[in-house]
Amino acid sequence: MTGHEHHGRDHTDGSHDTRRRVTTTSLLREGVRNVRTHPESLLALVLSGVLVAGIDWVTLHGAVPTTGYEGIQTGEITVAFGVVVRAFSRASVSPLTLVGLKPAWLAWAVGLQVAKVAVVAGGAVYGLARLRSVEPTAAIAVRYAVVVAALTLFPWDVTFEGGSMIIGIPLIIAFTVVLVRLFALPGLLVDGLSITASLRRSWGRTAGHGWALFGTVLLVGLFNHLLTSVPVVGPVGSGVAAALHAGAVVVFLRRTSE
Amino acid sequence: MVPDLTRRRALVAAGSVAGIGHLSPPAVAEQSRANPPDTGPPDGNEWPMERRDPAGTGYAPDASGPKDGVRVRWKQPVEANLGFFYGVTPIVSDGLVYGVDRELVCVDAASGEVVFRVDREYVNPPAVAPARAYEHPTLVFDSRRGVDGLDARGGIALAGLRLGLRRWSIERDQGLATTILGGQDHSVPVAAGDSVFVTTGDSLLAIDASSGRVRWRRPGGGYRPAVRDGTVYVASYARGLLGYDVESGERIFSPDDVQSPLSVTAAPERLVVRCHRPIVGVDYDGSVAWRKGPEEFWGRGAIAAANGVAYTAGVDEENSLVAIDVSDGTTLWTSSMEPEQTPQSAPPSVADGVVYVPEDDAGLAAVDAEDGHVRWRFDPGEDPTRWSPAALVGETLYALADGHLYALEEA
Repeated sequence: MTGHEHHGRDHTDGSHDTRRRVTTTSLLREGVRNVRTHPESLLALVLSGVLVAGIDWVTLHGAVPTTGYEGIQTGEITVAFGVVVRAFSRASVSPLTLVGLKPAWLAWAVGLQVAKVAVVAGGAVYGLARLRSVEPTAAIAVRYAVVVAALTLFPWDVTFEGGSMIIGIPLIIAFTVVLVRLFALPGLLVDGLSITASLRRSWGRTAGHGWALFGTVLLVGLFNHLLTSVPVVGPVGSGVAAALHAGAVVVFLRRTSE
Repeated sequence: MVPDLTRRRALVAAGSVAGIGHLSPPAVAEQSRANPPDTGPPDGNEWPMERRDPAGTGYAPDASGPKDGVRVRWKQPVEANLGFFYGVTPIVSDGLVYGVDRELVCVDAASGEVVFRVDREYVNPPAVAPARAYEHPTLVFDSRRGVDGLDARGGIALAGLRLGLRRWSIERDQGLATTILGGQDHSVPVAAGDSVFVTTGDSLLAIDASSGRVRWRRPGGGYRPAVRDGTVYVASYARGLLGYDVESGERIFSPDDVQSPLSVTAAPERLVVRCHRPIVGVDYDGSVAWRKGPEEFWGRGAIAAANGVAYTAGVDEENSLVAIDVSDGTTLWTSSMEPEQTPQSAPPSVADGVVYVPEDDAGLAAVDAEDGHVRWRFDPGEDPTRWSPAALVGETLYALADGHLYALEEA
């Protein structure tokens, strides 16, 4: 354990109650309770959602090709769960569509994406930090933003067609395992650990809690998908889901504290 | 399961909000929106869409193709299907020629050297549309998969890939229809200003050529739209002839007397509409000026219009190219040549007093626009070859035939 991790709430609340069994129900129920006691974390994530919704609107009505969120109204049922806590966007610009843009539009498109990452990371770091009772530093925010940016740029657009399901199903399973094992990542980042240390510690700390975390991922992801599906203001609802996600992460870290 | 923004499907242009202005970075906002959209004809060195201009006239006033004889300036192989339909009209823009069949080939118009090739099959010609956010225009295709917006320069070549080639796409499940009739009169995109108009099974879509956003969607579709003076006209067999404001999508034209239209050409004088039987001249106020038929004409296919004369194939007892006075609908002449008819009458192309039409199993023909006599026929193959309609730019005629993209010039 690094010195940074001592800043987390695991030790300030170090009663036996905080290290009870990890279940999906307990993570979500206690996560909600956590957020209620720290409404400023909910406010921060909802506010980031409001700003994301504004940036989305501008992006969707600009001249740069933008991919819209395929919500429940298009028949899409998706587990929209973020590796890190964040308000989801309803608009994304693929890096490949930036090829050939005029300089002014390139700056415009990149600027909007950078602003969105900053807003998302800022809201998430503040919200998580309040729940973890740690001081949100600039270094933490930068590290968090780097992870958000990497996840945004990564080409997640995977379409499985026909016979490719034979390959697709194992990939989805592998992907789910990774998602579950990185459940603690956002909380550890906010505790001040480096990105690699957070990845490593999350992987180790989630061992043995796979099914409980899978259930949490499933429920939070579906809840988030429903809220994000709302036209225009979807990111605001996603901010609420992000608060629930943050609450669950904090409860998990508390219950698995060493 | 998706970890972040759910973007599993291919790029789908987002939103279909009508009437919302476009936010722009300050440096380009004035340039992009200060002037009303230019829906006029392209300049003289372009054949940027099927039938050349948004109005669908097929007339290149500044071009002068081969008149008295023809020879090959260059030809470039294009991987092609052995189909029963005539080939896809080449598209010429900014010194580049685009030929499509089983692949997309972009060739330098002057030298004939290949600029890029893409292994994508298309059955319809693209439209080259200005993209205000990009250095180069967007090449818009309507395909079986949907509408694709590609970088007209082919993106960046890297290790066998073409990065950034596809700017946007609209999947077919958004309502684009397939048709059993096929052929390039269906689902041909038309570029006007910074919009592209695409017809679907029963809809007309206005798409932002830069972002791929659907600006509006209205009823009526199936055949190539025609745009003139800020109105987009569409021939909808089921709904009749319809006209919409290009900017707002508001319906502003819907004459009652035009039944079962199959194609529309927006000539400067009036609309020339091919219906199930008659050809109809319709004034821009909606009144029918004349009808030709119903016995004389039958069939489908586009009508070219140049200098007050409409050119099309007449199919009754005989298949022949005819010239019709747009002012009163009288037949000016009937040519002995037989235009290609599969899957429908091939659209004629007109420049400098000559009408160029692919002939039924007999190559490409140049017909005198004054009296209809055949000035030359060209088919270099040993067997009769199906030629595409011609694209005319400068003094060169571009066409696709026999698995080659041809540049022909005066012999």
